[in-house]
Amino acid sequence: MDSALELTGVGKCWGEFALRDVSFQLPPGYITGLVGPNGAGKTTLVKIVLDLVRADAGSVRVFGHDHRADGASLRSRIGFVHDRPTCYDHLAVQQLGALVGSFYATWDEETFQRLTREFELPSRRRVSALSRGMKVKLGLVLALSHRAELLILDEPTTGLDPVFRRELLERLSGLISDGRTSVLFSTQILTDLERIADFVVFLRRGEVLYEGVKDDLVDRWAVVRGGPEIGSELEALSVRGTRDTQMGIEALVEDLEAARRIFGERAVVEHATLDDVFLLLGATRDEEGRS
Amino acid sequence: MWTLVRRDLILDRRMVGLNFVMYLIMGPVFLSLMSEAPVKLIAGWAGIVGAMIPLSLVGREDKFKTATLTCSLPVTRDTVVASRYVGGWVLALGGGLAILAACYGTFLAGLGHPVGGWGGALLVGFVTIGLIMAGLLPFTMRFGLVGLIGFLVFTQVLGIVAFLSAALFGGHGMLRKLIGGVAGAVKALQEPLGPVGYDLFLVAAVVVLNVASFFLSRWIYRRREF
Repeated sequence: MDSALELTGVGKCWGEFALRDVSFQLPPGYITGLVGPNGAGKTTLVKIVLDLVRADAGSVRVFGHDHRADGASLRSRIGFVHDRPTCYDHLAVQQLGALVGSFYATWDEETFQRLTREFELPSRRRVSALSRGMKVKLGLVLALSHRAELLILDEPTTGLDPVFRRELLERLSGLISDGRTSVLFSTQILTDLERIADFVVFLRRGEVLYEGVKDDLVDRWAVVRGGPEIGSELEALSVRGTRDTQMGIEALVEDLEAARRIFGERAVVEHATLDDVFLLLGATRDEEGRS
Repeated sequence: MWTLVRRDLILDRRMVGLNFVMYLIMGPVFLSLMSEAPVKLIAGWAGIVGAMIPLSLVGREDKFKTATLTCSLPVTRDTVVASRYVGGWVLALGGGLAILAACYGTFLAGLGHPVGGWGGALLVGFVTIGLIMAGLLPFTMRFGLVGLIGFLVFTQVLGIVAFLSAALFGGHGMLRKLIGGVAGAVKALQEPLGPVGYDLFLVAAVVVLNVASFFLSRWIYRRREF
């Protein structure tokens, strides 16, 4: 079966910022988290997928088709929520639904009405009078009402209250249970990822530093903390990032068991959390020294 | 494409309506105050007003940054551009005609004094709309309303500079010759083509210009990033 989304060698240069050779796949029926610090290139990547920004290199395939050649028909199968929801602000929620719905053959008015009620969106209120959180909800309602098979959410949980964040995550988990809907979810909130993502893609300075199953990462990767003397021994391991600390060195390594064998009691070896990965992946001690 | 046209009309119905009402009142009021009102000038003005309505509509999308949403919908960028031209022409022609009709009604009511016949008025209005749409729509699609205003200010400044330098350095005759030459060349076609042929030539020229403008806009919009 075709991937819901497949990026191969995608590149984009914008002044000093560059996305370099970004490749990953989104298997159908799963949630993939796109993680990275500010300026890592998450939004640019999402925009490239939606053809709002043109890649300088590489290819993007959605449901096995070139995303530019079949753009319009593919976008009818994609639901999106942008990080800064831009809507026709002077319309009421209800009017916006009718307007956006007219573009989709698969639009389900009943679902729109139901979700509007469930998300407690005042249907007669103007979009301009909605809070950011409400706008995100509206974006989500619009995306879900045309039965999208691929949902692309660019930092949707930023600025949402914890209750709705949890509700949103549960809803996303529920969505993929049909096995046909896939979700690409960019975020900086790692607890969200821990809760729902099946796969993760870590981006940093426009490069993919890790792409794979989230549980593999959490189960197998480790953080090693020790004095400066462990530096030379780290070379025996597959190190994915290091930084200097007050104690000495902190390193992210791919093999927890191997790290325990090598260091024994001489260093603290623990399961890596997503926070650790976020902090350490791609970091180097030289870089620490520079900053 | 028609869904997009419909969308634009729904989204900007207030702005469009307000413009129409404003000019439908403004036109007759001014005419009734003028001692003499050249009909072709009125038609040209109606054309300008008509053409500015769709241009401001395109510019508003840029102002409110809703192009991201438009281009995320299941439509191609070519369709977006086509809808701008088709919808724009419908609005501009509709607006121009409505204003012209209001002015005509003013004269019928005995207010104002028209100068010249109404025969060529429609053509003048049509050509005015065509020239403005063809010239400014690609620019508005690329740079938005702010860009359009900037461009208009720039052309005005350029005009002032041209006239000033002509006055200072004595090139006035050259500038006049250039403008007169272009107008003369077009008018010179009147004799060999005959009145009907000449009118048809003007209509065809406007159509060709707009088709070229459409392809330019399409090229620009395909490359735009949001």
